[in-house]
Amino acid sequence: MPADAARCAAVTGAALATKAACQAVITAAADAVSGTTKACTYTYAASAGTLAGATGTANKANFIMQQVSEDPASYDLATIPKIYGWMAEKGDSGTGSPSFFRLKWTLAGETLQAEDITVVPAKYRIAMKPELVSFGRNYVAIVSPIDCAATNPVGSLAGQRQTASAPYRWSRPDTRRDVANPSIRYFKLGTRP
Amino acid sequence: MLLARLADGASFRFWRFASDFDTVAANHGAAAGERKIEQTDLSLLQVNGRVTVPPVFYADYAAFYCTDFDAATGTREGWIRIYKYSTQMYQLELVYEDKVVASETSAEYARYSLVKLGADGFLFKAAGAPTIYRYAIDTAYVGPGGAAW
Repeated sequence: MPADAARCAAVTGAALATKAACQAVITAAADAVSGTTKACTYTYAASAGTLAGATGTANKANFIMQQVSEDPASYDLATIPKIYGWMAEKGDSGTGSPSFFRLKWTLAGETLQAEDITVVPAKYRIAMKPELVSFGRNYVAIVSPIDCAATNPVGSLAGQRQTASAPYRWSRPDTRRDVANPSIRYFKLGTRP
Repeated sequence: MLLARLADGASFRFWRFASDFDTVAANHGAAAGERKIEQTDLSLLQVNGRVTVPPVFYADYAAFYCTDFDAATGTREGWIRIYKYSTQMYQLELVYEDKVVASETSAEYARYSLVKLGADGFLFKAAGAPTIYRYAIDTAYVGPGGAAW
């Protein structure tokens, strides 16, 4: 196991019930080249702007939820498609590697609980824009601005028109640094991405 | 429910498929009215406002997020509108509406969240706003001023 993956694996146990512990998981997992998943039991408080079990403020304004599509082959009213959520683009603070959460709804107390966290490997330069993300029952597909073979070399993006100093951007009126070779990354849910 | 959105952006042609679709389809003429797949004279739905977020369905209910322009105040408003399939009218009818965004300035509707919780209703969250609203599947809907969290 690579050293960074081992560091990620070392973050375990009941400590995952706090914000700090979950952030440690995210940070460590972001370091892991292969990515990882960890189950967190950390829960947002019902009141706006505060977090249960920890100090600090969640930037819930940037929180986005998306629901898995219905299964047309076996529609069951009692089965509610899973809900995933994430902080827009690059996490709570706007920096760092994006991650998404599988959410569990509980009527008593009206809470959404992040019962699983998956970190998107930073090497793909993925920004979790909702229009570029689609959750299925088994996979999540996310559009990446770099081509299939590329990863995230600091300082250059070989084969791409954009550079690290001129951040990539999706199609806008200013297309001088538009995305030339996007790819779609599939991640199997419930396993390591 | 299968909806076909028409070119005006606010009208929908809809067909209702029940869980016993196979049975109903095999003997459509004998099926009870509310279970028929299509009522040709009533299968047009017009949603008030501009539908800006994909609607969500649960059982006989549908939740829409729409924007309206209030000419009196000159502001664009965001509304949650809950429709229910009426087994008497064979039609979706508006059963609840709530002005959830008083002044709608966003165009990033992909960042809006509208998901279903099954029998517990629907969750709505606007982009850039910290509050998540739940709309229950009941006559006792809750929204702003209610059980926002």
